Amino acid sequence: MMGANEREQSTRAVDFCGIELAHQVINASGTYDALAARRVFGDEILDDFPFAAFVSKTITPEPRAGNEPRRIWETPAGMINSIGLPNKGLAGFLAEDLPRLAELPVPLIVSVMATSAEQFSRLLTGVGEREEVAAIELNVSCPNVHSGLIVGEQPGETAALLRTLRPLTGKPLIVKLTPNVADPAAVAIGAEEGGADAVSLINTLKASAFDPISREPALAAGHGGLSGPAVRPVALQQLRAVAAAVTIPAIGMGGICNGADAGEFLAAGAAIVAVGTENFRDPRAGSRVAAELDSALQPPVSA
Amino acid sequence: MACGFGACFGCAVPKPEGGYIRLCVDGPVVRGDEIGPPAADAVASERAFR
Repeated sequence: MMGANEREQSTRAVDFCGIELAHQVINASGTYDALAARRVFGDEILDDFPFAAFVSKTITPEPRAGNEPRRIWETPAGMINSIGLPNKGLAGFLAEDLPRLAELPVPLIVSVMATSAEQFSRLLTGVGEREEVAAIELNVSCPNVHSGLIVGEQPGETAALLRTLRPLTGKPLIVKLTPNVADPAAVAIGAEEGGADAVSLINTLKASAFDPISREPALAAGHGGLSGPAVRPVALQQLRAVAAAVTIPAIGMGGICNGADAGEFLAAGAAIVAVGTENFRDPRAGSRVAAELDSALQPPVSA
Repeated sequence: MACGFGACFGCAVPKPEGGYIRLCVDGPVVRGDEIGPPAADAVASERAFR
């Protein structure tokens, strides 16, 4: 029979695409700003960082200010956001943010997005050559300016993009899958065929809300993406379908709030999990979910 | 507001020169002339966040 210490070791440390993680919980891109958190909470967060790896907000080739407010709207068991990817752009990120993110005590995964294979290549080359970066996540929920198609909604576009990017870096490439498709497993297969090392899912579900009196959209952008516990059952089924269709590992996410939720994603086929919206309510959710996961996964004691 | 500590970028308030502040971490108290509708010549791609 395993002792408590052995069991802890067996469930916590994990190898993900060659990256050693202290436990199985990371953050979803855009839901935790490690630099702002350090400013607000102090250097103590470096001693007990909530996540086993840190995923950056999405970086684009040029700086973006983000969308006009209102940017977020609460819904039953969730929220809709249309933040608009505010970021400093590639050059600003590499010069200002990356050196400070490298001070975090965990591996760094950088999320990138562009509107053409050429611009994606520029991002991959710039980010890929920096030794501070452990892996790169491709945010493909964006239109390709050449085809007009959302890359992540098309298995062929996704495979073609990966074939272009794969030779540019030796670092693991993770494709963030959109849930706004009829068959996410087909896109995951495209990503694997193109050379992706892993997939992560789900991104937010397209959603909107209205003011019933003014009849205006609640968000200035008109629509946004739904996240939080409301999307969890959708995420679990999409993960289940994707995990059955590909051999590369999956990062599961979608409304994870506690260890039992995380355990569901592992049962559905995830190698590791990410916490997103819950970080807004509890900035220490990552370590809490990791600790709860250990106890949640223990089978009931038989009499 | 979703988070209150700079993570969600939901509390963006426009700056006259373009871009936004995050009221939670760049405020919560700010000078009145540091916020307001962007001027006509404000650069859309102005770096938004400190």
